[in-house]
Amino acid sequence: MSKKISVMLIDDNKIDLFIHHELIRQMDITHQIAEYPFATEALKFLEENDGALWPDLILLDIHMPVMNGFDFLDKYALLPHESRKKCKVIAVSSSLDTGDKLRANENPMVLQLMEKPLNTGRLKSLLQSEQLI
Amino acid sequence: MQAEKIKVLYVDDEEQNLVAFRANFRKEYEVYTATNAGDALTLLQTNYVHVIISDQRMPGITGVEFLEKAVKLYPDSSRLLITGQSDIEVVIDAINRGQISKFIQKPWDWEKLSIAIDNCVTLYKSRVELKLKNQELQKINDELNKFVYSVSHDLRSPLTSILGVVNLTKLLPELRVADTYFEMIEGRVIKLDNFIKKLIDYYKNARSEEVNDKVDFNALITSIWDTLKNQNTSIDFQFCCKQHNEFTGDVFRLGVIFENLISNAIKYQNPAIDKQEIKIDIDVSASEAKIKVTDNGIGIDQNYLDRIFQLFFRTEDSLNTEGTGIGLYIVKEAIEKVNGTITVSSELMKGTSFNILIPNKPSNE
Repeated sequence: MSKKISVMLIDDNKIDLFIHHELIRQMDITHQIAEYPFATEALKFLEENDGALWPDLILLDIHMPVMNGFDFLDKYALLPHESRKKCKVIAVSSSLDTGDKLRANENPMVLQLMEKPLNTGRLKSLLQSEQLI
Repeated sequence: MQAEKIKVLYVDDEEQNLVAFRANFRKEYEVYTATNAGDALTLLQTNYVHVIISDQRMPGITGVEFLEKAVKLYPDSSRLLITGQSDIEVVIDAINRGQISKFIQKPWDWEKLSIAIDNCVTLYKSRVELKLKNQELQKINDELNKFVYSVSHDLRSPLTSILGVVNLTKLLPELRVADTYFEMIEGRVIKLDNFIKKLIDYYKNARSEEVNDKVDFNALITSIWDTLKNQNTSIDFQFCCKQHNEFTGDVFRLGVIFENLISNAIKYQNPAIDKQEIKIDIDVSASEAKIKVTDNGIGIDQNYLDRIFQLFFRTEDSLNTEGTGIGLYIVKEAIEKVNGTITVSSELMKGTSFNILIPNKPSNE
């Protein structure tokens, strides 16, 4: 049987949080899903907690007010390497902007930028290829 | 422009010239005068002047040297040099260093001088107008970029949420009864989403620079077909690529061209036919890529053939499908950007064939 992972969802859009929560729940790959409508809150959690409590996967929206996905990644990069090693980040966006896509995919901390609406088949094969599930 | 009187500065070490000049032009212009370059430059520090006239031979700084300094202060101004000598060196210097627009010989003829100043004023005005127009264009350009960026995200974002929710309903058995309704919603949302994607493609094609890279037609077509093939799984897709030579071209635009032609070929299949086909033949030589995209779909009425590349043109047939009236227009625009050509032949209920030639861009090595 495949292993279950914990997932952190960061998205300012409540409906997208709900959609991703449900999709991932239906994929039956998780034992825990945490929703964060503010990237600042998510970052605070990571900063204040030991790597053992970190999620295995972060689904990070790019377009967000106050702290956007790229801002989050800049701060995330400053967190302990040991903790980050076991926590993978997938960026999600509905943007068609090639600049955004390039920027996200070029970031070494981002596994991939996936377009919204999230395709569970593609997500699953990406997670399998990364041996997360 | 109307309200402001044109300001003219005249520099000459001979006072009587200044007096005569002032008397002659003060009605028409706001006239400033100075007897030497130093005074003139001081005056320029505090006064914006539109036309600057200078005598060449003055004690200290020459007219050319003065105008060279003035052009740095007021690049928009027009400059005129008056000289008694007809020394070619002075003329060359004046043009190159002082960037003068007019040259007048002493003793001047009032009428000629008046016309020369008039010309300088016109030049100044058109320079300023051009600058304003450029600023306006720059502003519109920036706004357009912001607008497109916003369209590519803000307009799509709610759509992707709707699609996300619709996808969720597919996972819930208790909602099966509503399946057809959700399919209707999904169909319309996908159409709107495609329309937005096409608009962005159009914009990117129209405005981005040509980027030439190595093109692997095999990989390009295969990846496009992979993303489109699910729309109709009964199509027999035949792809033959003879790429003997390396091809250098604009991958983005080639992608746009193939994506639109292939998705059209899928959209306009003939449902009554047994074996639906799409055939792509590519022959790459050192000079060009010959591309042929053929289908055995419903075809295009001869009367419409010359209009299918027009923006938002749609035939009656395409009204029943998911056509947006942009696809072929973008194809034509993209082909023009890469200096290619496209021709079409079609027969109703037999199929359509597009022939494309795209030049192989010589690589820089």
